[in-house]
Amino acid sequence: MRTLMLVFGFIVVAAAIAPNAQNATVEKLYISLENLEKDNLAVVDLTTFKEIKRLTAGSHPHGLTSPRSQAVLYAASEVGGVVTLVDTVRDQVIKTFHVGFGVEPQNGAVTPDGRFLYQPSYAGYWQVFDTQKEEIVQYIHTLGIGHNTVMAPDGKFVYLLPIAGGEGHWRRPSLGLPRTQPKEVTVVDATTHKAVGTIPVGAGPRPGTISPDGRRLYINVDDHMGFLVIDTAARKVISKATMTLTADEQAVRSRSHGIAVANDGKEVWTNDVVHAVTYAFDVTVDPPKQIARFAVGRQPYWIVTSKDGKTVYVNCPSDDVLIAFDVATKKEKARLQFPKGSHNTRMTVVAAPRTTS
Amino acid sequence: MLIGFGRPLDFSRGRQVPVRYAPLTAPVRIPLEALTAPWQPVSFKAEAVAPPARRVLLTGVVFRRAAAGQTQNVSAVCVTCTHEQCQVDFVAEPANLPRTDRVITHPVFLCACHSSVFDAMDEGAWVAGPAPRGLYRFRLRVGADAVEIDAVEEEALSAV
Repeated sequence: MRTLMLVFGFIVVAAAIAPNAQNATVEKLYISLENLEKDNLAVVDLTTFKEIKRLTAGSHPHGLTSPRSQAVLYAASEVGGVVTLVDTVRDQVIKTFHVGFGVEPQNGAVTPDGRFLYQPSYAGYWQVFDTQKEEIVQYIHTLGIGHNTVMAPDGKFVYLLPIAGGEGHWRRPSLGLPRTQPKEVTVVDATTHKAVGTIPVGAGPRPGTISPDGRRLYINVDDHMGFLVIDTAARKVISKATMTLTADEQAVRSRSHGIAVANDGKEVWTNDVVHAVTYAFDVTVDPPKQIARFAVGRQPYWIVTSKDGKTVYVNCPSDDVLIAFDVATKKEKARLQFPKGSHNTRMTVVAAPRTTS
Repeated sequence: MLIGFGRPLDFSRGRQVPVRYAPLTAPVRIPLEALTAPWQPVSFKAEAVAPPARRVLLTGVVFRRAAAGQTQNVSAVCVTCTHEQCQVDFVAEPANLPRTDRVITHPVFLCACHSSVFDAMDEGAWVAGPAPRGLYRFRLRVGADAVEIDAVEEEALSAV
């Protein structure tokens, strides 16, 4: 009897002190503050919605990606041409990779196992960086200007989204950017690092995101206010979501920039940059139906969701503000104001382990 | 010195090419009394028509530059960044400008999206960042009691 009581007591104590799944990680938002040379990566604790640390991730970080382990983060430095590896458990810079990432490294994606980083360069190609060997093992040339990357949830395919470019990019002679104008997404087999197909999208691709099951790719494109819906198996555009703009909004050219999946894949949220509006669409119907419209801060530029998809975060760099929305109620939950001039642009949510053991 | 972010090598980023203006749908008048103090931009909206018939709504600022007393000291620029259409901010006292090692102590315009910098003293000329050129300028005439803005750089109509 005494032994039984001891065992029972041990179980009770063990259960009380063992970290449950929720407490084993801490959800944090890493935000690039693009106008700052130093302290240009802000770390925000999403439990308290407070900034807890600043790091320096190269010069002008413009791409953030984390593998399934969530224990590290890769930050691409647009100006410095380097990638910085960040320990997300301790929030420390581990190292900086100086391997010649080409002209203005942009928004890459790392494979779920953390082995390969697909790192785009403005010069019109993606570099496959082996994170163990710490060397570039493959170059994948696309037309246009390498910019955004979407990794399939299972890590089998990676989608390359080059900017089409135009006079605005080509007038930078020192960069020598390609003058080809791709209106397509390149599909790459993430095990062989070979391009296996393209998806015509009719306009220059902008940011993209993917459904939790990997069956739908959602991308912003040039000159369309909303986003395209791509069937990843068929590799074709199957639908188009269009924002409802006022007459005055139609008279001012804008862009959709920043897109995220919320609510278990049932909703997609995206921004109208110039008019400072964020939209929510129901993507369970075809075409997607606009279900909410929010006035946000100036130049909403990037959107991410919490890991449970219940909170959406919108970065508005011209007002240096980060806004959190509750997906269920479609109401603003909180605002985090950064110091004037911080210019918070790109960001990613990481559910970092509390310890590395 | 960061490679690629110093003074532009191409003349198209500077102000070497002749400017072609397109008329506004209606002139914008700003009373001179609103422009008595230097470096205090006054915001305005203007309309134009882009070929073939697209209504274009422009947001601009008109301001008096530091040296007062001459009509040429008033400028009007469109605050839409020439890179990707974000709206630039007026910065009266710049410090540690991004993407350049140039030290500028007079006011500039700064884009929050990609850190392009434009010189307010030089009618929005490009200083740094990915913008391909300076800010689009408005044509203006300083009258006895008001500034009249009647045209915008033609290139703005296809970008804004």
